[in-house]
Amino acid sequence: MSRRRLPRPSRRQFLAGTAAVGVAATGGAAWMLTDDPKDFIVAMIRRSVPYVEFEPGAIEEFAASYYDKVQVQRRGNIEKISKMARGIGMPLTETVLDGNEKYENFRRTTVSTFLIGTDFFDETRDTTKPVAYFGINPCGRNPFAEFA
Amino acid sequence: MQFIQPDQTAGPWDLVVVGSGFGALFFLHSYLQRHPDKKVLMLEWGRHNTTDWQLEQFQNSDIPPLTTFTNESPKSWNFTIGLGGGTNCWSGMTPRMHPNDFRLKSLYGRGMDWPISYDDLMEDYDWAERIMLISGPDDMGKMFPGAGNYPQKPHRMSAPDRLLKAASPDVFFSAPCAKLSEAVEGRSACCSNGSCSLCPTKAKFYGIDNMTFVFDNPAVQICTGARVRYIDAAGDTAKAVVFESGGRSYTVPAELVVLGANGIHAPFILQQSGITDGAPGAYIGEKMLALVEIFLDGLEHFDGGTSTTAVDLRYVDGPHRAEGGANLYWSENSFQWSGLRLEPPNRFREVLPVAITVEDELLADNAVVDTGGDLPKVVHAGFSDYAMQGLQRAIDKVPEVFAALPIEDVQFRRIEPTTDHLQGSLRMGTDKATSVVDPGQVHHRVRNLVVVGTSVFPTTSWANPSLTCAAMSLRLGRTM
Repeated sequence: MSRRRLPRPSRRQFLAGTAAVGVAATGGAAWMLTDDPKDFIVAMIRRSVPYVEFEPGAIEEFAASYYDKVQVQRRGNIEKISKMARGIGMPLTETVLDGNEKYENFRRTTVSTFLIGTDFFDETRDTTKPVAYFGINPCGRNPFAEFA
Repeated sequence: MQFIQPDQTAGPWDLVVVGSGFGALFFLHSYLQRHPDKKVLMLEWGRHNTTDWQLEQFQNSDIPPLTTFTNESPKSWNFTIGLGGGTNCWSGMTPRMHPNDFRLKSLYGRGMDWPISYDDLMEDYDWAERIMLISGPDDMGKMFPGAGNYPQKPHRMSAPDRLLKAASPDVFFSAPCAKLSEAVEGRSACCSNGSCSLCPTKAKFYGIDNMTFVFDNPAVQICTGARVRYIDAAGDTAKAVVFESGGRSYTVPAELVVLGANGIHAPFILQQSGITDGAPGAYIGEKMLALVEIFLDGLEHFDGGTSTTAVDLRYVDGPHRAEGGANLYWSENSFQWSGLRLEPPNRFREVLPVAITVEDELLADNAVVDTGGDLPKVVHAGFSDYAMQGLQRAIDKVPEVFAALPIEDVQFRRIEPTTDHLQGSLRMGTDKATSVVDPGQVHHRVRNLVVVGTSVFPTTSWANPSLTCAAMSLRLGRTM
């Protein structure tokens, strides 16, 4: 088994390193944040997996249903971060929140929930096509699970 | 289930049971086998929220716990107010306590000894595991005498788990749990969702679905929406239970009162009753739950068959308990804890979330307090230095414990606000001055008042308390 010892890049370093990739993958589009907090969720997902091409509207559909289900208190937190992002932009917002456990947990669990609602992890999918979103399943959310 | 209205509760009753969680259900199960003719009234503050309702509403109860007490504490507390109590919101993990957990004071000079031993509970541990259809490994007896005779086979371990098991076969095990590895009638197998407080397949043991033999027992009548306010005691005898429902007060005479409310409301009921012997409410606490992540180099995780697949038990006991709390490591197979790994790209599964439970020391100044209002107040200073020291040691030992894995990095993530394990507020003991109930869980002075549930635990242990609570309640019911 490989025992490579690689320094783990911080999220800040990683974002700096992939910024160009993100722009390239989206054709240079700038993400416009409106006062709708769901736009922030969309932008957060795009910036977390900038190297993945999703079907048009897939992330937006997820963000709408996800935001609908989150607890009221968490919604308030999303609105606060969204407001900050509108003011200072996504890159600086992520820099400010780098190392913030609550935000990092929110980002990773949200992005993970989205990805497992898509065919991204389906080894049989046609990789020449954009990743499709199917919805948040109430059951079987671990596509890697194997049973005895 | 035989539900009755508040105005039908006049009695007389042989038993009035306050609450309907682990303590009440397992007690009644064994008690009614010996006393099938007793008339029982179960008073439950909450409603009967079916498991389907819970899934649809995305909550265990329509009564948020935080609305039922005031919290003067840096930490949070959680429980379910509703039929079935904690059997609804629990995660279904069922380790036994270690034999030395019952002798913490005499062995390590901390906390207090339990007035019962592991041996006293062995038979009932086994019984509780059979009732809940626990899934677990057959070699668990290496750590817990008599354990390993589980009714369901263990869940599949993940790839990292299997390496760890091979490296440490005597301390690393499949995690015992009340989530089925094989479907039975009425309960599906676990789908490894990670949303165990709201189990979508009903693989997890729920009292309201899986102890219907108690709820449906002809001896048992159930009144929901009944908030018990106090026990009417005259001298050394409990005479009646007084509850509120719909803005009215009802008095129910009882021969025997079984107090099985949670660790915040059970002591508050005694305080409001003027039954303050042994300082009910003092010593409330719970163990700590923290999360670290092990970033792996080239090894993928999350291929286990349930949400928490394995446990490392090497530090659940030992001389380190004199200085800091014992701890257990849980191998978490769910990415509900902290998500998949997102950086660097395409290494989504190269991370192992490890939950760490650490015992805390129960201190007298941490207490449920009756301030004269309608709700109890919890005054708690947060996790003690004993727990923090235990956590620090547990984190320091991660590279050693998980040395069989290709570790790239270890990151501490957080301490969870609560483990949902309220303990210690009506502790059991032999000394009337420092405990509320005796070794038989009978109130030291009011001899027809019995307390069930985790509030009687004298120490937190590192172990999830539900199985031990169930075993203690079975024992109590069969010996009373």
